Amino acid sequence: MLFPTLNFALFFLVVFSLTWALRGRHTLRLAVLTAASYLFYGFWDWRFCALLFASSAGNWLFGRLIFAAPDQARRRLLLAGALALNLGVLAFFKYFNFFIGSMNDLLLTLGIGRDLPFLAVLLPVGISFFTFHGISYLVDLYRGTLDRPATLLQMLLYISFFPQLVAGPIVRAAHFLPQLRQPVDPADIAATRAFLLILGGLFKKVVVANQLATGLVDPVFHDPSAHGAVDLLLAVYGYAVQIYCDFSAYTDIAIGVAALLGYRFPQNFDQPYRAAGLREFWRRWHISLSSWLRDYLYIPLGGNDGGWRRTRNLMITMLLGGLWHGAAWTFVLWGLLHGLLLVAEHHLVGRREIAAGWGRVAAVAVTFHCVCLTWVFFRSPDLAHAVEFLAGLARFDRPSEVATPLLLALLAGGLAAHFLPRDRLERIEDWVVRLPRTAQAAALGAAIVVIDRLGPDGVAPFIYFQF
Amino acid sequence: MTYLSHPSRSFTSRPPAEMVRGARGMPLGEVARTVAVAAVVAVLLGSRALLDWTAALPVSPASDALLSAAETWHDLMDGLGLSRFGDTIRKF
Repeated sequence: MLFPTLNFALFFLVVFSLTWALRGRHTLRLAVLTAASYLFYGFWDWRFCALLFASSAGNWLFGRLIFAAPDQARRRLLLAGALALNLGVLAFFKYFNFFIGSMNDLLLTLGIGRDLPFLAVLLPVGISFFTFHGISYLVDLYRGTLDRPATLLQMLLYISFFPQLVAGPIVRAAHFLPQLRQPVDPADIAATRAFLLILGGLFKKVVVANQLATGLVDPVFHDPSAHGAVDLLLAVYGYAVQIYCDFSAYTDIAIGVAALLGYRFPQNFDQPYRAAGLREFWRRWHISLSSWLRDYLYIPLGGNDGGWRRTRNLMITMLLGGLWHGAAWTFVLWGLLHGLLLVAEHHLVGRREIAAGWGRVAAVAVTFHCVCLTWVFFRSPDLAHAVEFLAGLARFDRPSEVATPLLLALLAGGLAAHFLPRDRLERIEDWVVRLPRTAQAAALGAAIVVIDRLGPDGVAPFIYFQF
Repeated sequence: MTYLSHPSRSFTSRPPAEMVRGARGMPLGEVARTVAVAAVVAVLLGSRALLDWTAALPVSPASDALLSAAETWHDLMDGLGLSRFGDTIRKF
């Protein structure tokens, strides 16, 4: 069930009405939200619900054992076991066939030539996200960031809560579980902000991302050899805007939907293409993942512990971050490139701040093009395609075959939006709340129809569903 | 392994930035009224989308009945000129 569909709108209207009708009965409300989340997940494949339940119940059990363990050594042992189980399940579903395929290639290269068997493993939607939620719960409990374990019902809802289940944002246990302990406040719903986030998200996904995908990015990336440098360059810029609009749309809608139900999610994007460096980019792009990797992997590895150890820690973190996105060498290379660029920036720039003015403009442009270079590997189906794409950037003899005024306008608009004022949402909200309430509501209904009609037929799945 | 011995607490205990922090609150009654009015407006102006949605449902007696109702509704909105709103935007 995709967010920008009538199916989801009807589903949400029922859940919204039912859960607010149950606002005085806290436990029952959580149970209904959990059931609705499993129903939402079951729309992809009901068999995945069993895995989701097993992951939640297993982590809940380990959490209780860690909390009750009498000494540090036992707590550490339990945490290590639980992490191994979580990562083992993720590895089996997501990376088993990738590992077998890579081993087969290696054995063939070495002349041994044995065909290791592949398994017909279905990749459960959102497994990377709910595995990270489970790990967050265990580690937060172990570290004491979370003061007590969740009840089974709270745990089931924390892992499965439908707005964030399949593509984030990654919500920390220490941030979300305290919200589930308190009854929601029906007198103070951040509704106007939520409606603005949902409308903005729908526009970015249905109009910008889908139009750019169907008109520009997909045809060029499908066969890079058939296009010249201008189209290839436009397709890379187009993909940069498409993936931002697609993914940030999902999280904006998720944040808005959660807010309408009375819950707060963390911010996931902060105008990433205005970053004047890779470190700044990662503080603005997929913030919930990059901060997760920082807090649960990079810092425990030693973080900025000086010299080569920082380089090693950065490379491990970015390689695993790349692999988290997908079981393919293109994602590994994407992570590797980001790691190398971050290491280079640490060495070249150090702790110096990039001043405002033309220096910053140049830094923003360089950063954007570095990120675009890495998107080529992220978007290409395999390394050969990516190399073919990059080689085509030297073919200046062909005119553009895909550029249209609409696509160029969407591309320019998508980039220009990164340089709007930071408080744009607050300003729009201040303006909207001055309108009569009925006019606000009518405008909301009309805007939904406008967005639906402006998009191409059908709704493509969000890019991050595959991760 | 540092990870399992003395992990840092400074980062995870810091609350993350939120996009709804500082937002204006609205009481539930007002939210429900807003959602209801928006839904009515969307149904009035988006009869074409409703028709497309019902036509894409799996064939069953219930979906046949829904499709028939959506056609009647769309014809009615067409007669009132309300469906032109969406059609004009589509042409754009």
